[in-house]
Amino acid sequence: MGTATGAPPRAREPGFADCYYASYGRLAAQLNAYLGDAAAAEDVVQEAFLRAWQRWNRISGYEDPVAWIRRVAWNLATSHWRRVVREARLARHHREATSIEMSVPENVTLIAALRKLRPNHRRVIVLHYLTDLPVAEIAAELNVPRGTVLSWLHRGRADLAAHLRNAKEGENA
Amino acid sequence: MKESKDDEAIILPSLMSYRDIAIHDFVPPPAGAIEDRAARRRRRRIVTGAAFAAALIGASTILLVRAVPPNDRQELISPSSSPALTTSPAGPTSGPELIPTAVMLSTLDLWDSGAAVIDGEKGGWQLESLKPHCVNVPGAHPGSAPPRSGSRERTLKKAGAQVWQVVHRSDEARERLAMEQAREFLRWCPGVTIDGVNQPLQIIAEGFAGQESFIVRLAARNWVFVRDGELSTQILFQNGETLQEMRNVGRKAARRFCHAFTPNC
Repeated sequence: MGTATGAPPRAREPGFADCYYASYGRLAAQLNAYLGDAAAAEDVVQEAFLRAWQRWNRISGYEDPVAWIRRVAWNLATSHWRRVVREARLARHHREATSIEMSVPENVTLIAALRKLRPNHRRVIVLHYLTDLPVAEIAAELNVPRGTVLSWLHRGRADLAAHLRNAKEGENA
Repeated sequence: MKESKDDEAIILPSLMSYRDIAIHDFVPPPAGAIEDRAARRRRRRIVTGAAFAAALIGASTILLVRAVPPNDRQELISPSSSPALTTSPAGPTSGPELIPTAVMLSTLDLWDSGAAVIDGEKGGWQLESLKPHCVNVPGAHPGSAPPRSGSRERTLKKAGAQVWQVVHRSDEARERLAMEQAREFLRWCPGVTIDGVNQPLQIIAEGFAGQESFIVRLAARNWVFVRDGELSTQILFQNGETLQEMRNVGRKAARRFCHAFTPNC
């Protein structure tokens, strides 16, 4: 059976597993919408939970521990995205070659459309519509004025709607 | 303003549908795997910190010794000032060199393309890691598997899917005993509580590969056990693989055991 350590089972952090199982899918789906890459999304979410586990004594006392994990995951995702964009070859690969694997075809269309948005626009769209954060909280989290968030949301919505319209027309043609 | 409303009318159904459905595309690896990775990383940091501190002490000792007249040096160099004693690598060796990489599953055993292999990750996902979550356990735990001469572990990863494998090698008697202890674990732990919900843990298939094999199911997770001679493996699937697909992978694992150690396999 398994690994043979012979050691007594390590004490698990109380509450960590429940928080992890309850929020993993939601966070991974949000990060996937931003990164357009399911494997990278799962990597950053797992890394965020790993860091949360290391500080669980403190984080479990927060009013909303998942908010902390989400922020860490988003910071990691932003670094990941910057790295991908910096490396032009990978960026091309990311935009054109990486296949999108989702169980529902409509979600593949959405992810493909989100990938075409500018990163800031995509980020506020995901935070506002998939994470349910109000504009003021997004502004605080991104450290930008409220007006900037509203402007990014406006342009992001317009571009996303155009891409979805085009995709639909493409399907019907 | 009207344009904005029109745009929202187009994007909202897609976003809301994604929000409700996509979460099911991401099945979390067992929490134990995350916890073990975090604990390993913490241990590594402690060892690295100790090594750095020891190196610093060593360097200062050398500088101090050089600064002291030769006749007084012997008193300064005592056994307790030896930095090497605090920097030996932690943890038992698991003898992966006894298990050639050809014995391990490759990505092509599972998928056509676009997958990667990560070697060296250890523990936390095996059936045994469910122990803290077991419910209705009758008495004492049956005990851990016997020590092996060698173990090698890898993760096979593709977008949205991961499969974990560990291969153990010792002698045939010990590997047989390990398989029996896995069955014993299931008799001891008929179910576990995950996310507040009781889930049964049961064998759903047997005798499809190697000299002995079985598949254990827990909700969306399946552990495939295969033994052939002095080798055994445990493989975790959680990506909606069918029973037939998992049996096939189990057979591929057994074939790899056979080809690696039996010339006329």
